[in-house]
Amino acid sequence: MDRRKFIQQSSLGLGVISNFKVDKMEVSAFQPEVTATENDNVLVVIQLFGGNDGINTITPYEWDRYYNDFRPQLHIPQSAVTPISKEKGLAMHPSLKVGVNEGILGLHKAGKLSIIQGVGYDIPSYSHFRSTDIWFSGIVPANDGQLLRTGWMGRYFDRYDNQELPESPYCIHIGKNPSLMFQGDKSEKAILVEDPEEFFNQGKVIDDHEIENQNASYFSSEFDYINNIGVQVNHYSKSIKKAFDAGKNIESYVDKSLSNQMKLVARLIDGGLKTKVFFVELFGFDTHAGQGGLDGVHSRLLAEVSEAIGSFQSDIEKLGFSKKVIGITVSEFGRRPYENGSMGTDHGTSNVMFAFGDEVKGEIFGSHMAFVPFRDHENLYFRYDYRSIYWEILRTWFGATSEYAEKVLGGKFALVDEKGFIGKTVIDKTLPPPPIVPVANNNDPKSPNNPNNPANITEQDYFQMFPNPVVDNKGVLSMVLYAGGSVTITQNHISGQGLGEIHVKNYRPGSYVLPIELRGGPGMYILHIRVTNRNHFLKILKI
Amino acid sequence: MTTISRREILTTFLPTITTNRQEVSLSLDPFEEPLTLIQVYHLLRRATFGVSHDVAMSFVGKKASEVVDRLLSNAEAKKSPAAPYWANTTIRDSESDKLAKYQYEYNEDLMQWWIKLMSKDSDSILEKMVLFWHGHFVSQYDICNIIIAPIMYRQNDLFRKMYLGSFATFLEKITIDGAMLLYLNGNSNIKDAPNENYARELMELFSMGIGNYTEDDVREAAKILTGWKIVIYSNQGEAYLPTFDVNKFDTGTKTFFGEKFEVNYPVNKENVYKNSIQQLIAVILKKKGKEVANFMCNKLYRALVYSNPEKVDQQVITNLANIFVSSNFDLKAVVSAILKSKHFFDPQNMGVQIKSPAETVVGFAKNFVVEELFQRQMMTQMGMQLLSPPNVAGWKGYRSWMTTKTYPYAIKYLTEIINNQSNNYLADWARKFGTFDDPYKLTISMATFFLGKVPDDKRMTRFTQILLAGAPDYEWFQLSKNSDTAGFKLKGLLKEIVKAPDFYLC
Repeated sequence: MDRRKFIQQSSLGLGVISNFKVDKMEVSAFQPEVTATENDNVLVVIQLFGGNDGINTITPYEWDRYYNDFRPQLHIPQSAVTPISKEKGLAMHPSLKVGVNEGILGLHKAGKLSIIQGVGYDIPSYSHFRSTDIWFSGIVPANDGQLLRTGWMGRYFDRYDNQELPESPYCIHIGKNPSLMFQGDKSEKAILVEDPEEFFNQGKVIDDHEIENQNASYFSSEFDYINNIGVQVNHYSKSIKKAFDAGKNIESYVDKSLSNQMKLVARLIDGGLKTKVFFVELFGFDTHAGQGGLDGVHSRLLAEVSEAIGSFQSDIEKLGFSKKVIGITVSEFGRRPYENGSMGTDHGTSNVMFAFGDEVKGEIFGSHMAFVPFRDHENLYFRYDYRSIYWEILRTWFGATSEYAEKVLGGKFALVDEKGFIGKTVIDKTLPPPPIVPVANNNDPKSPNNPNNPANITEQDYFQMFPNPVVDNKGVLSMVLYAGGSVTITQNHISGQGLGEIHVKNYRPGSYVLPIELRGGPGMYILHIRVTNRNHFLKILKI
Repeated sequence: MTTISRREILTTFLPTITTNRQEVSLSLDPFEEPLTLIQVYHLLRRATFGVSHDVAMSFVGKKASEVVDRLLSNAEAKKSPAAPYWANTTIRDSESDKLAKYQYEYNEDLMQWWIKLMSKDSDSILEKMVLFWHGHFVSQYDICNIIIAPIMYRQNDLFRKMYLGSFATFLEKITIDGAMLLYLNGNSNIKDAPNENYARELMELFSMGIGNYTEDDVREAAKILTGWKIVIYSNQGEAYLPTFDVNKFDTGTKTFFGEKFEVNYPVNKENVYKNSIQQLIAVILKKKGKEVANFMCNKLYRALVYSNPEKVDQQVITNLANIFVSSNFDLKAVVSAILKSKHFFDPQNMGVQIKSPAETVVGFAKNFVVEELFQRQMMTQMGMQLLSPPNVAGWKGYRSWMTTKTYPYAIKYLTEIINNQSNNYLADWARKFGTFDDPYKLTISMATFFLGKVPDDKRMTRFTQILLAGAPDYEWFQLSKNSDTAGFKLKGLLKEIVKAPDFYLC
């Protein structure tokens, strides 16, 4: 079809030496796979934007701390969940059984669901866009300033840069805005589609525009960039339309965003489109406030995910493609174990990830993510590097060589539990060890036997007496408590003579103004303020 | 080399291009030659949302410095447009029935009010700068707690008033701007629970860029900024004005960039504004002035000259940064230097910017009869929802504007705009170019007016053929007298023009 060679610089030819930069590592490699043929396996990536609360997705349903400490208000009640592993103490959120064949729970029962708990990366970013970029790029940057220019899928498909456009696009992103995941070194590897009919009608009016050879300039490079988008739209809109017309759905889907997106994916696969990666997205997981319990926003979102995946998997099985299609759920981060004060949860670190399909192992990897130790006073460590998932997809599912996968990801990564979540994965002893997870939970702020945690550091609390000097026995104590507990104030003379407890009461964290009545005559006193096991001393003058 | 900002991270993950920029003029000296029509078009495309041919003609033959000065003085005169009718109305917190109106209806009205101003402003740089500042000092109205329109309006008005003044004053004012206090949690930044959100972005995104400050600086800055709050409802104080709560202000001594902030003055609104906010900004500019200048000039350069400059252009940016510092952070000095320069008028910098949806949509629609609502919806679909950039870092811009989604979408709806015009209107509009009776000259007029660079002969010939639509060229002279027929044929040409890649360049 091509009216124009897609990449103008194609004179480079095949088998070239290319300089390829991943992370900080400059890889100069012979490209043995330029002429590689892809197998026909398909990957569906479901992005849960906003940071899914993994702790309430799979709950540690027999663990008191989940109900009492982490989520006193936002826990999913024990009576509502469905236990999925007695020995690991895990249960599924009731929303995950919504949908065809009991949705995600049904997949678990049928042995078609991998539950991978504690997926993340080191030195986490709590920014949505930065962490999303980290997940999409497949690069963990050394610092905040490091540029993340390309995505892991973009780099994977870069090997076709010098070839003619294939009939089907490499990747399809059902959505509006381009994703870094598909950005290759020179070009975007995904086509954005929402409605194939509309896309076709729009695409057919775009022509190829040639301009006289202008020596390389900003103008010609931007002109070519836009023109190439037009060429791609025109080209792929035909194959997508063709597949859309030829394809069908057998299973029913609910009429909601994610289900509609996945319905379209199934139909395009059935229609013969050879696209390798489909990307679908659901927004709204940033539940800082009003996350809610069983009736809340998060529960509704999980139900949407379950409905969409349940229908899709059943559809794909009925259409006869279930040996060729797997899916994964991805979110930029999990949420903190401790709920916040606004009936919500804040940006956290590691998370739970699902993989589904006939070809994934129906197993639960790792213990509940809330059991992973704290890395600081509010966030958890991670157990599995997210790139381990990518690595296995490239190696097993796409059949990439170890060298090529290493080139795309900038390194090798341990398989999940050193065996992997895809059925056909072969154990590879040459891979590096998995991330080290500390055993002790030294950083949990609410662990009483942790001497280092902020809750036990007196400096966090703040006390000030007004007025100071105190006149006529009466003063007010301004008090800010970092962590709550029983407060006991004892008055001592500077000489050491005790005048007894002048105030004893329980307080929640927060700031207070306490009226205080002092004992004894004029002089210098020391107030010994004890908050549970933390001590603070305040010098006051009484006149 | 300057430190990499988050904005760069967001905008430039796309491929770098290796081009030959050796011959480009790197001089910031004023471009002295009298401006040609093409050069005026270039200047107006960057300084406004789409060119008005009449305005352009009035500038032809003048020197760049004269025209740029005019664009600046015109801006000064337009700084206070009539406010939307609801701008000074208020509600009480009990009037929940009215709230939705203030949250949605009026904000949408505000977007359209703004689009109208963009569309009408053809001879000043004002509106271009207002949108620039909205993408820089980002506030999104439609976050968890929706920011009501009168507060968003006041921020927009601040952008207009401060469009190119002292950057120090701008930073001071935006710090206690209502929408900003709400968007970056200044409202909940109190001494007992400092919220670092604004303090961090003030340094990371608004002034100097990541890597130039420590986490301690963020924490201390947050404490310095405690106690400010915007009044939303009329029963809670003077609505839409920032208030200062003495009891929520951290009176402890803070150390920011090595400077001590002692509260050795009576704590009241005026004193704290002067000794905390103004002092904080002063310390930023004193200690990190060079970094701020590099960061801001880089951003202004990308907005006004080219979004993906190469190393060779860095020298220009460095020189601009020097101007910024030596002018005591006068934004006008920098922008004026850019737009008057030999570098700016170098042919290598013409037609190289990928248009934003505002430039694409408003710039086209301003020539025709198109409702603001239609324009707003089109821009939103193309990824630019006014009052709601995707996140605090603003729009990614550059190549992210042109995707397999937006390019076909733009063609479709620009075509709809063309189809909706009457033939007579189009013919009358095109007559203003003075070339209407000659198909070749008319093609040149249209192509130079709408495309980023004058097309080569081959494409120009093709455009003329499309205009003629099979008629022999000698018949055009007669045909052009009939507005209905000629206007109809002109539609064909315009529809072809909006399909061209260089229509999306400016």
